[in-house]
Amino acid sequence: MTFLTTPLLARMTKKRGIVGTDVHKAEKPNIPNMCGLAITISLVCSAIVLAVAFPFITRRILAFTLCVGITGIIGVVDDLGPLSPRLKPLLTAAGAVPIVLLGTYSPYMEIPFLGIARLTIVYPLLVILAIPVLANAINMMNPFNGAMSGTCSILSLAMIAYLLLSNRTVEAILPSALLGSLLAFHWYNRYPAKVFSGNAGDLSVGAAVGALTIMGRIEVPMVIAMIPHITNGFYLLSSIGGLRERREISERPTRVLTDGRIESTKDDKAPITLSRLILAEGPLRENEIVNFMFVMTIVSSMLGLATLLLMRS
Amino acid sequence: MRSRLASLIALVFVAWLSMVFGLFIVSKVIFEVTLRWESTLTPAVVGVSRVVLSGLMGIAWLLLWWKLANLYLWGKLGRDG
Repeated sequence: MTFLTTPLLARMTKKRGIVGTDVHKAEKPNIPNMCGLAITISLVCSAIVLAVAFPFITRRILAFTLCVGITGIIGVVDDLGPLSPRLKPLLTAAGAVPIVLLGTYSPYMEIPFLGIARLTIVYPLLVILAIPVLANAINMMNPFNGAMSGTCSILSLAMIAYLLLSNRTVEAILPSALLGSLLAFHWYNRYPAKVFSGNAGDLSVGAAVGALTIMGRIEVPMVIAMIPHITNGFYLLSSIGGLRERREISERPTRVLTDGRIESTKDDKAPITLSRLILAEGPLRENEIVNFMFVMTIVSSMLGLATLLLMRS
Repeated sequence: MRSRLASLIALVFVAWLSMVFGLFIVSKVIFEVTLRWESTLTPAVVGVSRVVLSGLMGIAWLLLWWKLANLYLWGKLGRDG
């Protein structure tokens, strides 16, 4: 479904002038933006079909659908007219409300060395914190063509593996729908990108990953699998001194060379990002930077798997 | 290319090790060890102190990651500004 709706959305957004400039290309082309909405739409439609096929998990599917839908709408609003950097995380927290209200979480969290921790009061607060943190962390990890769709495909695959190893086969159904949708979108978003996901796609995919992590009870392995995303978000926020709009930051972390390669700037006022760390040893092509991001996500996903096995032993 | 990959994987590894080691310290030291003078405090104070200490441990991880990222970046790039 994503494979079919993405080109349709691309045509629609281009016609309406909803485009983003691909700043990492020498010719700076305008690319249809907000096409990640195709992932949101496909996830909602898949969830409806799954609710009919698996009526015993309808409540979980409803919570997931509402979470993805709410964050997707916030993303669309942000794409059409940027939200304040302080308001955006607050609004994305609304995506966590259906999970808390429908009670589709378990307050018994599995922690390595500690075993099962009973977090009856703290856990709902953690859910409200986790959804905006993960949604925005994934949003920040999308500076290059195919970075979000590729790394999140790896995360979805890791999530399926963790759930199957934990004997939670039913919980692995929704991550499979997410993986399929992301792979189809990656076809169009990979280097050189024909579409951009926009905040609409990034936020809803981030919220989907967060919701499935919570509902699947695989919090610790998933936090480890998301080390590249979390560290990127942390480095960025620490170096710019908190939540700030992209336009407020005048110093750029990278610049495009005349041969098309990208290099890290030496400006110590520019934000520190994962891409800047990747480029610290010298310039690379855009697709090479993204490949490094993929390798880092594969390694962190394998470490997540090692942690899960450690917890089970 | 290989040294770049090794450095980046090492950064992921350090973050993972700090998380696992941090969780070990939290579960086996902060939440397990009973101090002699602990009986003079109410259980609520002891509980809150343990949570605060665990939180400080989390902040220590983040500071460690931040320091390492800065060391790596400026060590390779050199500072202009």
